[in-house]
Amino acid sequence: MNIETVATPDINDHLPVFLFLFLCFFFLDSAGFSMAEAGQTAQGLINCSFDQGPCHLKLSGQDISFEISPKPVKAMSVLDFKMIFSENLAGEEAAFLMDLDMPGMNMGGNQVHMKKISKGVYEGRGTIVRCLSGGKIWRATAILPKQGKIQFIFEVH
Amino acid sequence: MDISSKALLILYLSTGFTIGFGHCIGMCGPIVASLTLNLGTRRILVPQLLYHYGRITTYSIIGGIMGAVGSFTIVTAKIIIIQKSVLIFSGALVVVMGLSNSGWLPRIKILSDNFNLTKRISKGLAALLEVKSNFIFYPLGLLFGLIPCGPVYTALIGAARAGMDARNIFQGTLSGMMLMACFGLGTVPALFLTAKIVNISSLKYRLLLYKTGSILMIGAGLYFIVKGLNY
Repeated sequence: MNIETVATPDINDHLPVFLFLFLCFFFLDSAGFSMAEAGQTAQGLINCSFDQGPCHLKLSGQDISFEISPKPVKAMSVLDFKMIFSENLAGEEAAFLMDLDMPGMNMGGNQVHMKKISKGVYEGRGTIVRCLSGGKIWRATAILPKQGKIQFIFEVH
Repeated sequence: MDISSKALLILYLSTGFTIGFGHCIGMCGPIVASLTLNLGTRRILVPQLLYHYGRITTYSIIGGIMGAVGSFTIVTAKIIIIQKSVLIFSGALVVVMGLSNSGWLPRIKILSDNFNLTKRISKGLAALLEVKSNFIFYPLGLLFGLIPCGPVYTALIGAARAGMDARNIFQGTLSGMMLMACFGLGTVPALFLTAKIVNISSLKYRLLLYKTGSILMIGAGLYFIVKGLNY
């Protein structure tokens, strides 16, 4: 009796291929296409243009003015951040944190410590880093302990 | 070292870990993959460890300088030209490796004087690609650690702040070095995994994967060159 043995596919032969293809996709997604997508998406979300003056948004019905200097706002330089609340929106808080990040790109945690200068006026100093991708859309998120978060999205030169 | 300092070191380690998988694989993965492909059938453990050790060394040195000076912008302004040059060089190296590994342009043709490259450059590149010793990966890691990188900059801002809060320059230097060493260490798993995946043992698909990988390498290398010129 002649028994034929049939070679069964070894998944170990194919698994590395799928892992490699996944890695290729990861390269393209992380380094290229996601940046383009993030750029397009973030471009539409821009709600601030510091070249034209302070940015004004509302939170809980209150006006918030946000400004970055010096102008034009440049990456890799020391920047002064100033936030003015129409009323004492931040309450009795002596300070709050402001996150600086790039929409669609994980750049690590970069926070600015905003200290109370006078009633409703907070200032801080920080730096916006440059991304190799060339992306210029950045986001400043003020984290107010009681009122929540407010985001300012702008373009950096 | 007090509790808050230890917590900061752990934070940097974990940040490096998440950044590694969320950013480094995409941006620096091509370099790691290129170096791995160039190893051929050689084992990757020691070369990869040396490469990452070199990278962490560079991060630590720059972190120490940031911590000593207490200013991120002053130091980065001084080294920007170096970083730009390293970026362009690394892109060129990756392109050459990609062309070489693909077999589309045999090494001897790329690196011969017939391509109008200066003798010094062609011999240097030839020597680099022909080196059999694993130790070459340490200076490569030292060099590529200088490549401009947003998350590394972000981590360096923290190192500079640690310097500003330090009691003296020595403490600032040490804090900056340790923070960046932890950050760099955190990025290692993601990039090591990249190298491991690229270093595929399956002979059946090795040639196909080399071709595919080479295309990616060449594209990534050109990307680095263009970005370096515009940086």
